Amino acid sequence: MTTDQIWIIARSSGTAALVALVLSILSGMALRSGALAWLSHNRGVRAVHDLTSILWLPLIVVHVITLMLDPYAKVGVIDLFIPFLVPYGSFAIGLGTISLQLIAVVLVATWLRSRLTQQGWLAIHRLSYIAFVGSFAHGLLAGTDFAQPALSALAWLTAAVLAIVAFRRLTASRARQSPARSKTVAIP
Amino acid sequence: MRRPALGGALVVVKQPRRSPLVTSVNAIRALAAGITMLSLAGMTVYAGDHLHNQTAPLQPAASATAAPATVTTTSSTGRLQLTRGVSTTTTRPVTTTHHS
Repeated sequence: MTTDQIWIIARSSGTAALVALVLSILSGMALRSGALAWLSHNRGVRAVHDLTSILWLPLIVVHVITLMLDPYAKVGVIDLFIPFLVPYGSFAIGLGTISLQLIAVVLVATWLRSRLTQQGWLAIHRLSYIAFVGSFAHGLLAGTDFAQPALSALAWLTAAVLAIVAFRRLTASRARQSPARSKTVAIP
Repeated sequence: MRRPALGGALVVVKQPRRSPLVTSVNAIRALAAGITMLSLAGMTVYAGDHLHNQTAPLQPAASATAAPATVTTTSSTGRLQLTRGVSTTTTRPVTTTHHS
């Protein structure tokens, strides 16, 4: 395999991993907010959430391995554990390292869910939001393809959709937490 | 929803519930997997056509300044290839001594 082929696979697997992560986050938020109720019922949205979380794993493994094989990126094994050590784009690639570690923690916590308390699991699961922001920034700063206007527009559009769904999710959960604040209309 | 009927009694009016676009779980799974795989395939084709992006935030020059390297451009792909090395000369070093 030539270095060019490695480079191509690294880019495509990284982008596909980000797409899988977007779908996972979107379906996860839609479970509570009902933002995807027009598309599928909750069982279907849950199936998407589970599937994309699993799909993300081989894609990110391929992304990391190809970057480690790429003599140009100079990513080593130690960079998987300690961020910001890479001489080439240390901040951008370090963000990717942190995101990878956070999502790994979230996935492990999901597999060990039965052994965790509901609150503990939820706290760990919410780290995926931070991981997504880190991944998006990683793609934006290190991804050589995000500089293309069409791809950049698509990425920002996706981020905007996620932000809207996140807002709906937040407002929906707040409304549930404080029913006394919600406006009640007396029916005579 | 209840609304008063003509006689004063309340009549339950059922609003028709919209069914989602995709009702099958397997179909929605296939859709999600399809989107992911399409992005993988699409990016592979795109990256193959655009091997080096001139407007990318990280450029090869940043790497080249970190370590001494010889830069050569491949004519077929356009991606910069970096090779580390020390330039050598083919001429034999000659040491002269004065015999006086």
